[in-house]
Amino acid sequence: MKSLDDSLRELSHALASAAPPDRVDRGVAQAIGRAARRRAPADGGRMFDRWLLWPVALAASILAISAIVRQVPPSALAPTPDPDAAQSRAFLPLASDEEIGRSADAVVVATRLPRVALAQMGLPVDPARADQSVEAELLVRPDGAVLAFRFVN
Amino acid sequence: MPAHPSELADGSAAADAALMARLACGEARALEPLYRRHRGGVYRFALLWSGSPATAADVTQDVFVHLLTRSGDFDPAAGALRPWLLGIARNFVRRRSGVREVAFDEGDDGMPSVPEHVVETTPDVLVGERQDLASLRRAIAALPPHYRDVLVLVELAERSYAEAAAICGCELNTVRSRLSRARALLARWLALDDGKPSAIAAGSGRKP
Repeated sequence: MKSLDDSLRELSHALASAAPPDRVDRGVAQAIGRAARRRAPADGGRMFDRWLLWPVALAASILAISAIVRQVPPSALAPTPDPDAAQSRAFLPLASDEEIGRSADAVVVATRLPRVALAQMGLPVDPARADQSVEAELLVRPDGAVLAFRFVN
Repeated sequence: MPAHPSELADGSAAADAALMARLACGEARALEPLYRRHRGGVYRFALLWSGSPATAADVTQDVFVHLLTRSGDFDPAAGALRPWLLGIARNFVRRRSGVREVAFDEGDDGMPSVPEHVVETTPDVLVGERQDLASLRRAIAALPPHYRDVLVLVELAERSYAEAAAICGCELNTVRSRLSRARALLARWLALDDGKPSAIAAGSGRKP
């Protein structure tokens, strides 16, 4: 009597190359194509959002700071010692510690600021060099709010 | 069931996991290599389970289209991709065959005979398929679903007892007993020597 194991082995061997018909290949390929097309616009949108968010937020912050500083009368900018002496690598908080602590998603953004903007931050500004700019790093929240500031070099 | 050259399992687990991760991140094209690698195994499982090439083709497509949206459910730490896919295929083929997941009384198989409608409506898969193999395939497709699961998984899809237990959601001993009963039924229907204890079931090779 033939054994069941032999028969099962033969059946395995006979079906070893069995594969789904072409219509399944086409069906899966079409489903992949549809999913990829659905994904493409969504990706583009997310990429656009991601790359646009920070420059827009930074530009808005700088514009806001500049606008505020322009409101400050020149007389308010008292003659002071060279601000470079006051520059520090430490971040100068522009918001409360609590607010900074809540902003875990804030990032550091390198930028250049007009020196007059320093006055808004309570730093001394030399009016003779007010038209120059300084390199700085800003701690910026995703909504564009600047939480802290530090000089570079 | 021997692996098709394009479905080499050894060393591919990491690649499968990486592709599944890419798929879960929305990279639909990652499904293409996964489909090429696993389509044969999924199709053969569904074919042997259902006895119907048309159902097997539909189930194969269902499984891989399902992956496009549910790939995040796969946990590579919990096991390899192939048995996970076979678990999905099992659910789909049962659904298409109108089989519901119910609790079976393991001791009451009643030694059913081969249902005639299965024999009559099951076309041969391979042109020139030997009559005895066609009969075996029909008999497998006529086994009670809970016996068919373990017989196809363990004896024909080369899954271990543990993998079969995980796929079927039952205990290891339940897999053993169901396999034993499935083999007994097949042997009786086809007048074959059951060969008890089975060389595989007795512990040789990787099965347990």
